[in-house]
Amino acid sequence: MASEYRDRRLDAADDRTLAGRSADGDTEAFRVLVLRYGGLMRGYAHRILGSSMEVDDVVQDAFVTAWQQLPELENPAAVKGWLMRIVSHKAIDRVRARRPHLDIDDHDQPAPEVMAPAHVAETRSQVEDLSAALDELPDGQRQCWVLREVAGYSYEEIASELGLSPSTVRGLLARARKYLIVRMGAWR
Amino acid sequence: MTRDDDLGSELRGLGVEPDDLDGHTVEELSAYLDAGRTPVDPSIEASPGCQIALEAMERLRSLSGPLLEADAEAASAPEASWVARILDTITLEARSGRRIPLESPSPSADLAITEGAVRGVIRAAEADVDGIIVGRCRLRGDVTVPG
Repeated sequence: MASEYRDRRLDAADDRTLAGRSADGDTEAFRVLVLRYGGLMRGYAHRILGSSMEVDDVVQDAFVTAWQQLPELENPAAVKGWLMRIVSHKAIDRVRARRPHLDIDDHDQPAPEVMAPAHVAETRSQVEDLSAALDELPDGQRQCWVLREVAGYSYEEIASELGLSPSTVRGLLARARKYLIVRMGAWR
Repeated sequence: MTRDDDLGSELRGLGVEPDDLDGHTVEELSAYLDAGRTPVDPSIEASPGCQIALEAMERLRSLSGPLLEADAEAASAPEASWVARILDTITLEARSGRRIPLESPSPSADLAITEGAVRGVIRAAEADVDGIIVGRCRLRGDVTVPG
């Protein structure tokens, strides 16, 4: 069937084409974007939120906003990064609504136990270790680390997103790094 | 290795206290890293302990990409109903665009087609041509005036 063939062509289309067509109102092109980046956005939202309960809602909300704002996207080829910024923003909105005073968890956690040096120099297991260690961090520290290292935000951007001062961000990020380094110390 | 003389502390795996960092702190090093290690701080650059800590921070950073990929993989494939809900919501906000009036011999007729419908027709044309795909489509000029 012709439309089926067309769908397959859409599946293989580049981001610029899909974003341009979505801006034109083509919901089928948008569906391909949802399938292409939905997983990435859900994974990222999960890291920021620290729980899976609100992930579905947040990412859905991000896609609806993206649909509304797509006609204004200047560079459709950069739609992936643009979607990530939208979902980042939506996730942080939830975080802020949940707890207006984020820095209250800025306490010292007990010294971490060093993970067993089970698998050195193997990216896959290092990622697993990092994943587990991140889950142990207090929310504020984890969010600062993810916004800085995964999303590439500056201190000022993180501060304004989270409603903190840049110096608080600097402190939270340093604590997060210290914890992670010690926790994963075995890999050096 | 620069710290063979201090194997004990190396084995403990810590090395993030000012004693290990020639008087510097993790917070200082963390900000220094994010400033792109500029302006160069000779005292940090000359300190083996600081170099180890900076390297560890960079190693963590290098894992952020693989972490995001692993997270995306682990995020369970979205349920069809989840995708459908997004599409249902956006369909309510269809982009019909401008109204393009059509001339008619009858003065009482008021015919028009929307810009969105024209785009749909243009996209549909790709079904008849092998291997092409229609991208973004713009109608130039003032299409709301006939002729």
